[in-house]
Amino acid sequence: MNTLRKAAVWLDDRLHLTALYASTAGHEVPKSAGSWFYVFGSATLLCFVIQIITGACLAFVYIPSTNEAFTSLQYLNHAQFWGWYLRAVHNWGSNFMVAIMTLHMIQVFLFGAYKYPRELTWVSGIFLLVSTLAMAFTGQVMRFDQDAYWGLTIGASITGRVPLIGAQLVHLLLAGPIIAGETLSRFFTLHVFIIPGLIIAIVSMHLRLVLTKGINEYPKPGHPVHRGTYDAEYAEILRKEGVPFVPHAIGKDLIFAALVIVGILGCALVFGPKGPGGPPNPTIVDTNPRPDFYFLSIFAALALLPDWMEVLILFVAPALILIFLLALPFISGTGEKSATRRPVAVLSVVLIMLVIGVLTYMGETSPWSPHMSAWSGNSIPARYVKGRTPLQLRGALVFQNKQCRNCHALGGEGGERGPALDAVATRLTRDEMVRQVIQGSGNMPAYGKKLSPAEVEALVSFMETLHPPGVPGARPSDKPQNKLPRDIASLHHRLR
Amino acid sequence: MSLARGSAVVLVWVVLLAGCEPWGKPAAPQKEIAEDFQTLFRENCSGCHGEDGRGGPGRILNDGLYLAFIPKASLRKVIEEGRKGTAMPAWARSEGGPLTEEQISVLVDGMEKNWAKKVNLRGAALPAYEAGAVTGDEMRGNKLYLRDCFACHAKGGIAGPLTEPAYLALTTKQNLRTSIVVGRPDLGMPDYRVLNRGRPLSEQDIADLVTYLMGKAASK
Repeated sequence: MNTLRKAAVWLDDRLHLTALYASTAGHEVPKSAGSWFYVFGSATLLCFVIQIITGACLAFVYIPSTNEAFTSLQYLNHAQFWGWYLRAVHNWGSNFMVAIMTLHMIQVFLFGAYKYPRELTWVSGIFLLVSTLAMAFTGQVMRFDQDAYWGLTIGASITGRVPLIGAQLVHLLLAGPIIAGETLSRFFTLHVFIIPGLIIAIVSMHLRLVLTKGINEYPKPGHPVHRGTYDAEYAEILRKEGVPFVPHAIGKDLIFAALVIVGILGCALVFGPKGPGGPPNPTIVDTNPRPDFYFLSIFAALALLPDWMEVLILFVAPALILIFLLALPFISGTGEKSATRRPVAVLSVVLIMLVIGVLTYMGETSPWSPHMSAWSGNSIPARYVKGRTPLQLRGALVFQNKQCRNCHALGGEGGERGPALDAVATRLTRDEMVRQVIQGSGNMPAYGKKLSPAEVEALVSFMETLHPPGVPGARPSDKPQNKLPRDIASLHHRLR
Repeated sequence: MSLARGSAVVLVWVVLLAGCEPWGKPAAPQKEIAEDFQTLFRENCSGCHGEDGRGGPGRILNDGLYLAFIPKASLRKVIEEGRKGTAMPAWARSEGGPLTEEQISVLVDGMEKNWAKKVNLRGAALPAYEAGAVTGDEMRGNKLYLRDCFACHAKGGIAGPLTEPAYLALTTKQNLRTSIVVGRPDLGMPDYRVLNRGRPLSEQDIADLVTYLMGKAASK
């Protein structure tokens, strides 16, 4: 016994284990910080650890080559014993990580934890947010399926629009002008080595800051932060009601960690892995690629923004958001911490989450995506065929054959990108239809070069028949057929 | 609950669960290519030819007379290569289309099997699918047009004019010939058996009509 004790003392003397424990797990935190609201940070870290473990296991099998990435995922899904589950846990781990990280960020914001003296904790957290989203994006590329291919294509197209150095940036991103074998190697390196390394480094700093600057006390309304007095107040709180993190405050973290693990393992079991969906072949146009859920809102915003907003949303907005997030603790580093006294902060969170939520929903349903098989698979409603002239029937064929149907519904079937055309003749005159078809406008491409004059003629004469029975077609505004103005004019004439 | 009973319950659950496939397990990759006639037709043809091969703006396919008129080899060729000058695109992979040889066979066989039936020709000879050596007479075709077509195909008539240049630019000789022979029973147009005031049109009549209409296209 004595020998064992001696050995332990010797080890402690050399490794300073007691001191390490006292300054980390044993460090004092305000008792009020042992709250259910304070569990999200450790849960995010837990997700990251799960990602590292499952990611390392996946790396044993995954082959980062364009020829074999898809096959190696198929192997995991179908041949390797419970290989699909490994993929599923990694996928759901990432979903949980992004979700819980978001909760952590919201909590820190609403509890004013980013204020003096924890500015750098927040700033390092912002870098972790960016790194985690970068992990999510590069991870999506690892699947190297259609979603990955088109996600990359969109990313590269956006990058290519950076002024002056766009082409060089695309080269940097894709390791060449196009998506090729080197692209996957590059993203593999980023996803497996560089970004995780960065995250580990920033997390270390993040945690060190938590230890040195302490965990934010549960904010009380009416206790604003002042630069001159806060440090003394915090020391007083610790002196009065400080408890060691382990074992007093860690209990709820552990329970939440267990819930997260059960959640990830359960979701993985029930919902399984994502993809890989379809080989990344740009010649397959009959595809409906969409990003993973954390990018669905961006996907929706990009799809919906009007063209004059493109530069604003693509470049100005992300830069502004990032600058604002980084500057936040310096802009409002003092003052009230409690959410009950910060209505603007609460409303901002509600508004931002609503916008992101709605955009995510839009991204999931993506009503703007053309239905690529509508032209050959959705028949023209019989009522639009009966009683039509040979030319109008040709026009209906042009309508299908030139894939107008993929964006424009008839009888409730077809794409929703453009307006349904069941009553187009009540909105547009013949000339306006011709102009719209030939020149396009807004999101509609110009079809002038893709249609012969006869095809335009046929198409427009078909569309002219598209109005509800009894409702007259649109008339040119310069040729009023309404009798009233002329009658008034003649009356006026007669009266004179 | 005693420990033994508890462990028994857990054991039963484990055994039950072990027998199940987890919901999340990806299904084995399936053949993605559709191979049944109904699906193939619905996904690829119904857009123009109608839900059930009839009632669409494109040629009626679900029709005994049409399937008797067109030789199987021609039907296959039209699907594979499309029809230049009309809206029919090429469907064979070899022509840049989406369908395999087998899928096209399924379509051709499926149309024959499901829709071909014996047609009563009422004593009239069934014209050959492709126009033969008969030379059409434009002047006679004009007369025939006024006699046999004009009642419906006059301007403002119930079927609308055939002589509009844009229509004629989007059709072909073969297309007109097929339309005259098989009509559009789904849209109310009679076929060659009755177009001549209740009597059949002859091979010469059909050639004359086609020549007249295509001459209209050329003159505009």
